[in-house]
Parts: sequence; C-alpha cells; structure tokens
Amino acid sequence: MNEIFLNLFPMFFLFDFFADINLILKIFVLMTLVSWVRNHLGTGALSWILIGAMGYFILFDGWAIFGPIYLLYMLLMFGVSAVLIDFFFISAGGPPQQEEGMESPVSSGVDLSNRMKGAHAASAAQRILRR
Amino acid sequence: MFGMNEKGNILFIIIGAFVVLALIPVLITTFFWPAKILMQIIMIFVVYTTVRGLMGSGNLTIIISAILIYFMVFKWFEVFLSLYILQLLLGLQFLSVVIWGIGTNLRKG
Repeated sequence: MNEIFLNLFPMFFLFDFFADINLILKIFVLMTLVSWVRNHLGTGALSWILIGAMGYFILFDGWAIFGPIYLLYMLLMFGVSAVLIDFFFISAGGPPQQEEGMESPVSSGVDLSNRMKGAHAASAAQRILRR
Repeated sequence: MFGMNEKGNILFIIIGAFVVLALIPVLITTFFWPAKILMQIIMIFVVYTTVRGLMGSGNLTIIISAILIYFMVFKWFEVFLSLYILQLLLGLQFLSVVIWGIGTNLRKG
C-alpha cells in the first residue's frame, strides 16, 4: 500500500526523503555534541547530564535554528566557500584594463586564454614573415 | 551578477557541470553492479570511521553506525554517493578547476 502511494505521489517520496535526511542530520549533530562535551569534561556523570540538556535544547527545542546552522557549518568545513570565492572573485570579470608601462601578471583564466591566443597569433605571423 | 557574462548564463552552466559530475558515479553504479558493491563497501568504512572518530569504540558506535549505514548506504545510496563524490572533489580542490575551466572557455572577456 505504501509503495503504491509512493509511486502515485512523488510528494510522499519527498516527505520520506526529508524526514530521513532530518534524522541523519540529527544523529550527526548529536555525535558532534557528544564528542565536544567528552573532549572538555571527560566521561563522567556531569558530561552525560550536559549532553542530555544540550541535546534536548539543540535537537528538539531549537532544531529549526540549529539544523541550518550545522548544515552551513558542514558546508563551510568542506570548503564550499573556496568554490564561491573562485566563482565570484578569481574567475569573475576577466582581465583588468591594459595600461601603459609594465605588463600586468596573469590575473584570471580569461586573461591567460587571451594571452595564449595572442602568443599563437604572433608565432603564426612570424612563420609567415620568415617565408 | 550576469552583466559580467555576455555569452550565455554561466552560473547555470557551472551548476549543470556539478550536476553532471554528481550523476556520473550514480550512472556507473546503476549499470555496473561491481562498482556499486565497491562504493557501498567504501562508504560503510567511511561512515564507521567517522562515527568511531567522534564517539570512540563501543556498542553505541556500532548502533549509530548501523542506523547511518542503513539510511546512507542502502536506502538513499544514489543521493549520498553523489554527495560523497562531490565532497571528495571539494577536498581535492577539483571544483575550482572546473570553475576555472568553464570560465576560461565560455566567458571571453
């Protein structure tokens, strides 16, 4: 019966998926909390009380705020910020305006590509002149 | 944001490249079953090592690992395989190369 519902209505599949993701995320948050408290207080009774209290507050009472914060923390830890910086700053815009005087260093992928094209064109012109 | 991009919507092209990168391992494991078993074994080890690193050795580690392995390696294998491969590529800074390559080839000053 459940499978028929899942096949007929993709929404049920999505609800099931998000419920499972929520559970997985909560387990990871709990493990992070346990590890953090144990590192600071050891494995005594006080640490278990603290884990219980903080676990209730983070996982149930304030999950709507702590869930997204943990997700953001995980993404930043995996280095998503480096990808964003690459996209918006390193490869954005293209090379700066050429000014007179010293040639600027290679600043972006577009700049490098243009310089390579220029070098190819120059070598082709030299070959024609030699003939 | 798109003013810098004169030849096509590069943001969607980069997102599309990420989706393709995430879909390749799913397609391989769908059509080639030994790859699926291999990736499942690798993911089981990764999950268990992560849980043991956070919780230490003990019965609780086995229980939590079993729950996570059921959901991540068996029930939603395709989703978490994609995420695992993307995480691996992020760790190797490969996605920066993808962005640089797409930017170089498609966005001509």
